[in-house]
Amino acid sequence: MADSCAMKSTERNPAERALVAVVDDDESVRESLPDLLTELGFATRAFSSAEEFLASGSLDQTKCLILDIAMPGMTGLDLQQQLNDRERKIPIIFITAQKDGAVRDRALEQGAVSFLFKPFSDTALLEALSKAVRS
Amino acid sequence: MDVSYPEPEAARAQPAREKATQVAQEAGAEGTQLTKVLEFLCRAMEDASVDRVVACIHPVNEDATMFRDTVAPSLGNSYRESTNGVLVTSMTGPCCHAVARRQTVVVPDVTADPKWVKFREFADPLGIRSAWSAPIFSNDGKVLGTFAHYYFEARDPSPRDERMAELLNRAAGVAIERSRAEAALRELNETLEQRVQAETRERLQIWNVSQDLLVVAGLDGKFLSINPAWKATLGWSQEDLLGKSVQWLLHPDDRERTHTESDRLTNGHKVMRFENRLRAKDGSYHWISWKAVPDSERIYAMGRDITERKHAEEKLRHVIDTIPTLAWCNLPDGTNEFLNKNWHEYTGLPPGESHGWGWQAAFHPEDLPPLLEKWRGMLVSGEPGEIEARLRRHDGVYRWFLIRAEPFREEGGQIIRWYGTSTDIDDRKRAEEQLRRSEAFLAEGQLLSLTGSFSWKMATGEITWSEQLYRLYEFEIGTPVTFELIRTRVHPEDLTLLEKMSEQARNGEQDFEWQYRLLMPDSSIKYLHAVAHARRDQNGQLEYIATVQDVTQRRTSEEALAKARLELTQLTRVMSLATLTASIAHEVNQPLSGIVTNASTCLRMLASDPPNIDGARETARRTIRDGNRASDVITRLRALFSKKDAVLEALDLNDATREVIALCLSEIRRNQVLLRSELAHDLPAVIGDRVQLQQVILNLLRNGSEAMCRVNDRPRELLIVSERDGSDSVRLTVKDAGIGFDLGGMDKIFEAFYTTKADGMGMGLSISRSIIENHHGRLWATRNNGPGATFCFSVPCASAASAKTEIQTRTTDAA
Repeated sequence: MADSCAMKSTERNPAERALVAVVDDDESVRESLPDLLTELGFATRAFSSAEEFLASGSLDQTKCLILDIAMPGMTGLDLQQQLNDRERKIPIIFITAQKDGAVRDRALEQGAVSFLFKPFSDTALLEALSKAVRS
Repeated sequence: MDVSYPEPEAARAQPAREKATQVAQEAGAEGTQLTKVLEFLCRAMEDASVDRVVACIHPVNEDATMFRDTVAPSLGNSYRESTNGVLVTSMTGPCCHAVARRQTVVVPDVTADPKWVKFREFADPLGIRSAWSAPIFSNDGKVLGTFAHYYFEARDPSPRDERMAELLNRAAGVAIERSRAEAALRELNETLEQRVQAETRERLQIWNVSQDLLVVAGLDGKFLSINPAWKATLGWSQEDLLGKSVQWLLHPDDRERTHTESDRLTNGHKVMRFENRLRAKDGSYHWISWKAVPDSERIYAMGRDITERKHAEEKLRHVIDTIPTLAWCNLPDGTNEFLNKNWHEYTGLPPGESHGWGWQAAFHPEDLPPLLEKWRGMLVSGEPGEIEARLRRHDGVYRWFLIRAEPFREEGGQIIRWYGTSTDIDDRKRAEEQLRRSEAFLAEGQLLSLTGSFSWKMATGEITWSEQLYRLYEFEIGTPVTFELIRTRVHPEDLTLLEKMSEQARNGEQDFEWQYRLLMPDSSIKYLHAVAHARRDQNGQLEYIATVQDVTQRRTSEEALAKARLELTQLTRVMSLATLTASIAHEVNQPLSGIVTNASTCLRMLASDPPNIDGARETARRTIRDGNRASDVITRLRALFSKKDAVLEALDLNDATREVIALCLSEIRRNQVLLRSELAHDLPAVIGDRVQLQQVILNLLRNGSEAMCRVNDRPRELLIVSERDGSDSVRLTVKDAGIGFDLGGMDKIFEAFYTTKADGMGMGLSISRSIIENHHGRLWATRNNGPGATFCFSVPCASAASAKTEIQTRTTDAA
């Protein structure tokens, strides 16, 4: 909880806070994760699909993307590929319920910052977020 | 002798000679006439002489050895009788000497010479003292007899008497010679007449007894004479037919032909043979075979009744026509003369077309050249022969025939006919062909299947191997097979087995099989599998027929397969476990993730200053909700993977569907979906597990409903339809207007874990599909023309499904 104070400084000025976007088709994630991110001092927005995120116009503000792998329509990996193709360097933290090493390796190869298996602890999330912010 | 006498003496003698000639001529051929003439000449001699002289004439027989027919008109019968039959060689009197010496003998005094002692037996009683005898000659110098003169006193003949006697001697010669000629002529005539009479008698006899019909007819064909055989054979007598024409008796069908034949007869043919039918008196017709010879004005003919032969021929023809083979007869030049009825019926060629060389048309074009070559060769060599060729049946079908021909020779050795038969061997040929083919198949089959065969005669111990068996044992084909030879190849460890097997074979006659190994020269091992069948051969002897298969490769591959199968089983087990684990993990981790995150948030809210109680309460509530959700997942998984046995029954899919609709209607309504159902009235029952099928229906309805939960721009319409699918299936269709799926997703939607739903597990469709497939049905999806997707499944109805008795009762493997 020591580093949580560092985050508090940004809390006061939401406009300056980095936007962390959450893309997951699972509703419980979309409900819970933004709350936690808010508690951690990030500005967040949740999207139920990759398509929705791409269409939202929030790409430029997004400093970090927390992305699910298995989604109907465009998958997380597809979105990562597309962002790479568009040369949008948004740091990505993948979260998935499926323990699949191959997918993880591929995601990291394509430049993902972190790959978290659900369920993950708030500490693991914070580590990943600080890595992302640093990059 | 006084020469002045001759004229008057000659003149005196002249009338006597003329008289004698006349008498002789009057006498004609009569023998007695000669005696009269000779008597006249004797008397003329006696009358003419001035002395007392007695004259007599002694004719001799043809060869002048014996006297006969003595003429002595002045001496009486006793003299004639005693001189007749006297042999010239007896030399009794002067006459004998005259004949023997062919000159006149004069005896002036019979008493003076002792050689006339015998003669004096005749002379003395008559008072004869002297005699002279002159031979009578024929024109050609033969002695015909003697003219003898006797005196009653001893003396020489007077010259006058001598001259007279000489004249009369010639007259006697003429008379005797003529008489002889007449006798010869008479004799000849008699002989001739006898012969003619005999011959006529004989011929008449033959004419009468002949059984053949003999006839003499005019050139105009009118009867002149017939023999009695006509009466016997045809009933006609000479009177019946005399003056009538032959035409009158002819069978109407034979008239023209007979007319032609008789025309040729009258046109100079020497001998004609022909046959025709003549009407008998009783109206029946008889077949007659004729031989006729004409001369310038008549026809002589001989006919034989051949009616019986004709009937026999007809019978033979009938036999030839009805024997179950094609029979024929050709002339020595190869042209056809006769084909039997069967031949015509088989080929459909009428006699007019097959005649001569026309029969060729019935043969297969490919077979004709070799056939003709063979036939010509046989005609040249005169040897019998045979050939096989295809003969066209009347319906155009060719069948194989064996054609055999044999020459028929007359006595001189000249071929006058060729007789032949054509026998249908098509079936045999086919059987042969089939046998050849099956043998080829068998050999091929043995080669391909590495199967050899052998026969083993127990009585003789004779073993016969097929070629393939030699190859299996790697012995040279044809090597005599003995047990010793086999022993050299059998694996040492299997030799006991071999002994046991052969002992078993010798003792009983049961089918048996055994497996053994061969140890080949290169130390490789062959596995063989033998099956033996016991049977009795034609002589009732026990015999085994066996097949031996090389199963080395099969054994090797079986071992490999077993290994692969084991590996595969293990792999599958690992795979399905992993898949299941992943599936459970995914489904459970999803809500767990929410729980952990919420709990973290909750703690942070409570730890903040001031604590965010409301926020904490809210997140705590969400944690509970997610915990329940995880619990639901476990329940659903348990339901999905419960290994409950399927219960098969005939069920009404409409009823099952209505139950499902009732269960989930509230959920559907909550999603603001409008459900419409069109269930067919006459739906046949299907066989299946009610609960499993209802799970599928439920799955499809939920899918459809959830696919539309975010649709706001159009009615959320869900259509469920049941209907017949073809004759033997029932189809259920669920059509939604939801988000649908793209073409790439078509295959994925049936994969496990693929889902388009926010809270789906991605297992539903995959499991649904395995359920339907276990019901021998199928499940598929199509994109709608408009928005949304259509899911259908089709399962066999009860009647069709009953044939497929086995419906897999477990569905978990699909996971």
